[in-house]
Amino acid sequence: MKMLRRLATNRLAAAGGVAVLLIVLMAIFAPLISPHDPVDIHIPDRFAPPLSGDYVLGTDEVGRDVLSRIIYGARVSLFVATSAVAGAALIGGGIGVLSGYFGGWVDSILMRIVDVLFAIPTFMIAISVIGIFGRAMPAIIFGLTVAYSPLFARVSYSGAVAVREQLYVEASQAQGASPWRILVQDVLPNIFPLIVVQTTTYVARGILAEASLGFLGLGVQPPTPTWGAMLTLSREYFYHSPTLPVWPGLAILVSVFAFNLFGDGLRDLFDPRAWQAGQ
Amino acid sequence: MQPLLEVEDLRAHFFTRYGVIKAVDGVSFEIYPGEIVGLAGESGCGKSVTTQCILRILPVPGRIVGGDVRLEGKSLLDLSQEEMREVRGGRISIVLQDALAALNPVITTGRQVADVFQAHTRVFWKEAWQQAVDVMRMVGIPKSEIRAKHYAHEFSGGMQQRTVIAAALICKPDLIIADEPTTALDVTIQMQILNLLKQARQKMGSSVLYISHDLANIARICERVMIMYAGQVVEIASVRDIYSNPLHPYTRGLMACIPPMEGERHCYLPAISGSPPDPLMYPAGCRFEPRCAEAQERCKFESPPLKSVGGGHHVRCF
Repeated sequence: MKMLRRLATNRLAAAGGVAVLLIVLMAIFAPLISPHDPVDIHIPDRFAPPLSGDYVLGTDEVGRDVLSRIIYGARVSLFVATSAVAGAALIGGGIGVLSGYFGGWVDSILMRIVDVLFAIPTFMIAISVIGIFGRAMPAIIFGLTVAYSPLFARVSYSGAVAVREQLYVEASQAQGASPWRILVQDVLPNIFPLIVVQTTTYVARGILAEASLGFLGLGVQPPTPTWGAMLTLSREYFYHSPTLPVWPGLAILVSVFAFNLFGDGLRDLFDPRAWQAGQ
Repeated sequence: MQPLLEVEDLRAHFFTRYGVIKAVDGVSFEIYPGEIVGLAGESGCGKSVTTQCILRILPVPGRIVGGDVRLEGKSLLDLSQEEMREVRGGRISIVLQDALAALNPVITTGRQVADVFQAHTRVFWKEAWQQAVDVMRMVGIPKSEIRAKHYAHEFSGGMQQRTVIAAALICKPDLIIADEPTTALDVTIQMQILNLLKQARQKMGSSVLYISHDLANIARICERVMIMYAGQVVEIASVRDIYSNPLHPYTRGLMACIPPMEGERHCYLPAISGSPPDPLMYPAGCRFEPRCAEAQERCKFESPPLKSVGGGHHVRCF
């Protein structure tokens, strides 16, 4: 509760948080709130403009309700983005913290591998992994996980190295704390804010990446609605019905923006030293 | 009486790319149960490295290359890592100088104190927390049940140091090493912290190794004093002896630097000329010889041993 109240003092972060919550609820309750079946084809109603009949945002090239597809699309976008980023935070973050805190030869080997992956553009890595494992949803998630892990590894590594040098770690050691105890009570709490902020900003990037993969035809395959794929397909009919690409684009924009704002707010939330200024 | 802690011919060297730094080079002393011993010396003379050796928390590239540290006759250097962890914070605890830096900024102070207790006893969290609140009250933190939920940056400097002391006392250690605990504090708080250490001895029978370069504070609470110079102990004596009859020229130089409380106030204080020797290349003979006003010819070539002059007074000089 205290945390929620602190979040509320930062208006932008609170707005971001509310928007994130709404998007998540929209994804969860998609079957209840969407007016039509997102894959139901109505050829006679194709290219209906917004606000025509009961199609609030109009219909696409085969007469599927755009609003329903946007609502259902949130499921794919959010699921792919959050699970890929969660995986990257666990794997990459774990590697970074362990090698940063313990050091030694494990550190050298792991971080050199990370450096190599770091040198390759993230999108290239994702595309290669998807190329190997096919275009199914698990492969896409795995591809993005592999692509994002080095970034998390770097951030948590530098965090762990910085914390390791702090006097309070030496103090804990002198008070008889075991290395694991120091990891849990000194290192993790101090780099947790870093990782949380990165997680939320990368969920935003994950949504974008999933949309981009969909745009390139490497995303989740039709007829499953995804924002990226909707954008790709509607592009071809842009001159005929110019409002069609606007809706998925707007959905991507709003959710990315919401996650970014929320992430910024969380950073302040997790740092006790920043509380006084905010209160 | 068996000494609580015996340090015998301790040598700790740092193997750097520039050469071997002999930070601690043949240090021997004993601390008896219930005793407050002072350890004085200028920056870089090896005071802190000595404490790191006792707790075996020497940072790389440092290594203990010789000698022994015994707690109640049992060598600490032979203990396994797990056994050593029981000693750290349990039987020997340390109070560091920079209390704010020694406290984790994102964890409540009470939790940090309780964590020490929980690391050494198998108790439930609630009990450890209650214990932490009690100890924090004992070291003079008012409303400790509320203050324990606060973070280190919300405390004043004195309160932070009290918290660090609470963490050091919570397991009722046999020996408390206080590594310049009052340096960052103002004079009134300094007195209160010194009294806390005295109280700890009275209530729990703990011995205290009090490290400082403030000889006045050492005189206030210690029974015996050790003076270190360039990695070696140069003089050990009771506080009375060291003030009334300092034997080593370095100790005499330090004493001369204390401002006089009577007579002429507006005088220049003498200084010990020169600077301490390069720890990579100590002089062949006495390490204080280059700065010593009373040096003789043999001081250049012969290293004087630490010899007894009776009454527990030892000095490293011819």
